[in-house]
Amino acid sequence: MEFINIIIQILLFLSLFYFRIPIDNIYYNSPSKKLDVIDHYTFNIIVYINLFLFLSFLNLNINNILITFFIFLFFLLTFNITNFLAQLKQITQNYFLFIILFIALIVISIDISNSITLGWDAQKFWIHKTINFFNNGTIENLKHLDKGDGYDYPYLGSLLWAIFWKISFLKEEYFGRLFYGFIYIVSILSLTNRLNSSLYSKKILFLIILLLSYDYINFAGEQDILLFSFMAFTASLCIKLFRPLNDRELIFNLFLLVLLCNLLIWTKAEGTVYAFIIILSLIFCLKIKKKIKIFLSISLVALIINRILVYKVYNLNIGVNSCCWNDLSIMGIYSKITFDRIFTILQYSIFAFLKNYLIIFSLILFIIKKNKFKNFNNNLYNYIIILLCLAFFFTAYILTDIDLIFMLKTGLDRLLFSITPFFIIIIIDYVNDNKLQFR
Amino acid sequence: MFLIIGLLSILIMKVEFFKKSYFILTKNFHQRFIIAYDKNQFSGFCSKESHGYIKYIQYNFNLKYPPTIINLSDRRVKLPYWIFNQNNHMIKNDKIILTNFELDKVFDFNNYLVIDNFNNKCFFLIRK
Repeated sequence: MEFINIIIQILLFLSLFYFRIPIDNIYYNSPSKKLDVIDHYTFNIIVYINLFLFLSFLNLNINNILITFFIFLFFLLTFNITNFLAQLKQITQNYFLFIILFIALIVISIDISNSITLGWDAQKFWIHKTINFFNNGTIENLKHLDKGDGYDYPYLGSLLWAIFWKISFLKEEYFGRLFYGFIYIVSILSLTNRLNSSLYSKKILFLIILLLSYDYINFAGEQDILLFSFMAFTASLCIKLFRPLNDRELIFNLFLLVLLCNLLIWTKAEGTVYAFIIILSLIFCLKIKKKIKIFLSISLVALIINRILVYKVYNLNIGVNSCCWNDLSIMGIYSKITFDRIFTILQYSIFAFLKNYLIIFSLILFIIKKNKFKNFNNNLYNYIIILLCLAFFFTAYILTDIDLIFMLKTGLDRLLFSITPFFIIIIIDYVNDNKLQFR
Repeated sequence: MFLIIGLLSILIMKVEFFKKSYFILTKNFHQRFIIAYDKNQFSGFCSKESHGYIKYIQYNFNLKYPPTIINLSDRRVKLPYWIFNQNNHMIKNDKIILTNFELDKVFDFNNYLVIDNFNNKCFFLIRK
């Protein structure tokens, strides 16, 4: 019975996010291809999650959020019935993709369903917010959680966990986490979709990335898998943005990027820094009009102000991880920058790099790549993002007031995992530049 | 096509898909939960954070709200009230789950009825 419910939950994800907002018009007369199934899934995931988030700002509980969402889907279907029928035909045209997608989803879902355990942070912080939403609590009720329960952390992951727990038939907690598996798989597909090779090659690279990155520990309720997925969607968009696009496509993709930055900001504290780094590197590297650059900067500031305002309105504390960075005076900072601490961070960084096979794989490809600097300008944004993220990790660790080794042991792997999609871009570039095909 | 089948097979073997599917078909959620936490480095059935015993009590006594959990372990442990799918302010004081009790530790049993006793180490108690 539980097995059948897991399959039903997977089919629910596949169908809920298949109902499309008609955005194909944007891609008329486009130099790039029209949107395919994965692009539509990506678009829907980004828009629908933003919709859930926006509805939560209105202090709605998840019953009301779900009712609003289903009314929205009903109108979408009613007004686009012809479009919807055409979409149904696409399922048969893309049956191979759906088979791979379904198998990958079922394999991961079975692992989550059997492994079940929650990680340390998930039990300490994230599950309490999830239970609040699951029991029809709203964002305002988060202030009733114990201060030690991380009530002031961003809550998007917990909201999604609770929503998909609520709409499952068995009402067991882990059904909510199956949604993390769905986003993770679609995000990898979205990245591999940027390969300029055959569908077959894309599927092979998808499976290789899945094999090298999948580990149950990322699905034990921690939010880093969501950061990884949103960063993968962002990386996929970045590749698109550096290809020839007309104005309409450019604006459309930048709009999606801003929505993704919003999701990063509401997932984890470091998401805000990632959003800042991504926007900064695009402003620096993307050849776009000045007013679009200003629009991007203002959007980022508006998103951060929105987060502060929402927390202020509902009397939640906006304090950034007060556990670990208490003394930020000049003398305090100066006293923490020591050779010993720098050496310890570098030592643990090497261990963490060696544990992440995708990063090793991408670095090897980067080293053996011929004409590294031929398309350097096109990939500059990626190197800037990676270097700034690594610099951010280094700064966060060197300035911490709590046990440095404990922090490195428990956090560095996860931080590196969350930025791995930008290392995957190096793999994709290598395959594209060398016109490699899997046969 | 062989490459795709090969990679899928590796993925299936990596996550032990068939073994785990068998467990899902033959064991219910509560049994799997207890087994999973028994293997967990921070927990066990009636050791460390004792998720297994707490789940066993919740399931067998059909508890909707969390009783007070007292863990007498000397280690730093979390109290997993979340197992009851309720926030901490719903904790009821008339029932107690006591874990990691040992004879050298002090606990006054006189005020409680022992409803369940696992190896004189973990107890489910109700206030008299």
